[in-house]
Amino acid sequence: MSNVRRYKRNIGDKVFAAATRGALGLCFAILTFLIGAIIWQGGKAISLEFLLMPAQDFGASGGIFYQIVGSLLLVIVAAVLVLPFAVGTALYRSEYVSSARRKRLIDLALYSLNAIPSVTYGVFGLILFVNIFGTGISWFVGSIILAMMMLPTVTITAYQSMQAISDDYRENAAALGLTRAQQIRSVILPQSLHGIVTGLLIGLARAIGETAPIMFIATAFSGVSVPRSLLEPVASLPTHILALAQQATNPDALRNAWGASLTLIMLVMLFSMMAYYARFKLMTFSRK
Amino acid sequence: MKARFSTLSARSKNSALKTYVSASCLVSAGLVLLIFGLMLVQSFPALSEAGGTLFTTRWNPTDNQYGMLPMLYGTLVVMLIAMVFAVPIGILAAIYIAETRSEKLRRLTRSALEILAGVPSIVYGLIGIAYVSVWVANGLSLQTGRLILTAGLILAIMILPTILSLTTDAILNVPRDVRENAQALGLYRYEVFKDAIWPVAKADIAGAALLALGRALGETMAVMLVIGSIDRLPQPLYNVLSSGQTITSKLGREVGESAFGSTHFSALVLMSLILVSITILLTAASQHFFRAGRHV
Amino acid sequence: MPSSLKPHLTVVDAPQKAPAVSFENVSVWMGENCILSGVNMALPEHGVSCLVGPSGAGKSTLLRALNRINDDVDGYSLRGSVKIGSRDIADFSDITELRRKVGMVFQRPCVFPRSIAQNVLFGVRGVKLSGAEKSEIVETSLRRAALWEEVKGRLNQSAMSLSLGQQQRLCIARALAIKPEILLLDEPTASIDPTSGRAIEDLVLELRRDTTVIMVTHNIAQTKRIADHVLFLCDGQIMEAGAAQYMFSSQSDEQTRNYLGEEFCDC
Repeated sequence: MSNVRRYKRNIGDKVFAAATRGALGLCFAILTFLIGAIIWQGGKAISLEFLLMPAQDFGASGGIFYQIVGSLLLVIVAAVLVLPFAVGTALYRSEYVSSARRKRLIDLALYSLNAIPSVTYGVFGLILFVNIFGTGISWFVGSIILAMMMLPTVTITAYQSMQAISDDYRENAAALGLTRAQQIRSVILPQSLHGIVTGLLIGLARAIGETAPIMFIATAFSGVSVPRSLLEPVASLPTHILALAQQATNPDALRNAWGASLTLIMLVMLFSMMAYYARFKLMTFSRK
Repeated sequence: MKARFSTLSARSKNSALKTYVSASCLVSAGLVLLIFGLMLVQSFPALSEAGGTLFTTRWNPTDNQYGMLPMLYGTLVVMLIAMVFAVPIGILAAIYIAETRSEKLRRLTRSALEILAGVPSIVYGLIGIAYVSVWVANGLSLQTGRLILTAGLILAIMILPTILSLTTDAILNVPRDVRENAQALGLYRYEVFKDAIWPVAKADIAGAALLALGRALGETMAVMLVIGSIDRLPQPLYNVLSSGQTITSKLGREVGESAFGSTHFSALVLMSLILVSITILLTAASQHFFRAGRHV
Repeated sequence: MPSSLKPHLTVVDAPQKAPAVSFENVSVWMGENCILSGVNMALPEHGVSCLVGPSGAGKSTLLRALNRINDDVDGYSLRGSVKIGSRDIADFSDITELRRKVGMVFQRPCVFPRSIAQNVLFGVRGVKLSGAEKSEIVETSLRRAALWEEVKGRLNQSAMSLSLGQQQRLCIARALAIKPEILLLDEPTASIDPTSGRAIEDLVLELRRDTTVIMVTHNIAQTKRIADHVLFLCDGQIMEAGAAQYMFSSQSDEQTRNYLGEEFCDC
């Protein structure tokens, strides 16, 4: 009898091992498929001309030059806009607040901002800027909205790097008679620089792939080049892919959609790699 | 020394900095309230002018009919499908990654997950259109593959990395003592997991699943491209092989086309408000689970 | 008590019975680091063997080699042969069979978040038991672990409510419930109060009649109180091993004497 039960236990173990291994195998199969499809399909579309030529025939021919420019413009301006607010909030949370309740409140606000779906940001931007402020479709409004979406990521990363600074530094700086402002300038900011830069780059990597927040408020599909004022629309990679994907029956449009996707992912990777690099390089630099 | 001579200006700099940091914090925190407040105000017209039709199944702006049930139902079903596929697969794979002795495999998986996290949702949508919906249509001999099921499958793929990485962390966070004590008593691997590790890790895993659910709920582009965008309840209700609509796909499709200030627009804002409220609740709940896990 | 331990490094001297535990030229690596090198030892059946030595000497690693609990650690490798009775532990294709023969109690008590009775029965699996049989196992194990009198009225309460010292005895009871031939104790008294520590020493002295107890300890006074055999480890090697009386006498190796003597003075 005891043998029978023990046999069963053994079977359970085998099933368990097979199930976990199978699940992991499936995950890797999906990953391989995703990456493979993007690289294979995108690789067929991408060429130097594709990257450097404006789109023609509603995207079905030509390239994606202005889409790349537009996307970079949107996210880089967003990063510049978010920087002062993120650093300020992180400094306040890290250096000025002592009450646990207030800290929790700030965290709650940041986590909520992080949890708000991207399409909601688009609706919000449409109501407040495009209609109430009457800006119309404007790339600058897109940047403001993307900056709002980046805010929690940048703030939290910056805050964490400020928290990682040993209190010894703060105490020594205070003991030398430095004011709070001088402590921040000479100790906190230099030592958390890596966190701020890393956070910004992670934020950039996420923001550049966003479609929903900008599609109602900042972009136009055709007929746009480099904007000459704050209130003009731009073209962007994600909205371009969206428009092409909706003409999926046209093989040329589909091919260019893959090309734009691969380009977009390479830009994301570029920012992610810069973030990775910043984390280590700037950290060793500031800790010297 | 320098501070000595410039005490006055140092002091004013000090207070200027304080003003700046508190102001920026106020702005950050105020954003949430601003978003909520604005949407609340904007959804009033729908509540007052179309309040009676909101919980019906007919959506027809020209008729002043704003029934949201098909969207709410579609959201629910798509989430359910995504979770049914992603949660078990994600947890099982996470168990393998957490329990393997190969540090190399763990590192490999981490970098793979980071790559996946960088794929924008619009690209998942493209994959959904170009592959998944075609496979579903061909596999089931249907005219179109843009179905509730397809949207669920794409979402499952999208949230798998979140579940996988957070569950792996949850299992690895279980103290080594727990595992070793159970192993030393002669338990098989699955018994060690089921009876010793799972009870400790389950709160964190629940948190991971909720967080993933929150992300899935707000996902727009991929769903919008593959769900077929038809504002009807499936017939019969469990028929996931029919086209449908979720809150996000509805918003993505129609917000740009509705006139600001109209009841139509207001009804869409109301849906967006419902969506945000659920997502934030889910995030709060997942944080609660993570905290509960800490205390064990 | 007759001892098959000789006062020197290799102790394989053809005793009448096969030793309960034997290491033949065992080396253990963690990645590039050699934790144990060329360990030879043989321990007789029953009795208490204490592993002593400075931190990082490899005492815990030696203990953990015996039930292969390090098998899941990346980079862990063992060369040589470890035998239980006449069977090499590498030959157990089902590792749980080995672990049911070799029980282990760790330094920090770790009870599972269940009732006291469920904790005792945690490792008792693979046989269908009636309620009465279960109760009997619980009672016998708790009695042997000298915990029965303290908890008999609240077997269904959570084990988390026990004091640390009681939890450690519960861990021992849990290990005894699967009736191991060999019991490994890794500094079982290091993280609990002295009174509970004494209770555990007393129960180890009871267990030695029918169980082979191998214990890692930093406490020389404790070693002196309960050890039948003492093995002195340093830098991954057994410097000296032998019967307790011999190891604490003046005839032993100078390094051993210094270690055992110095620590002894502290007490």
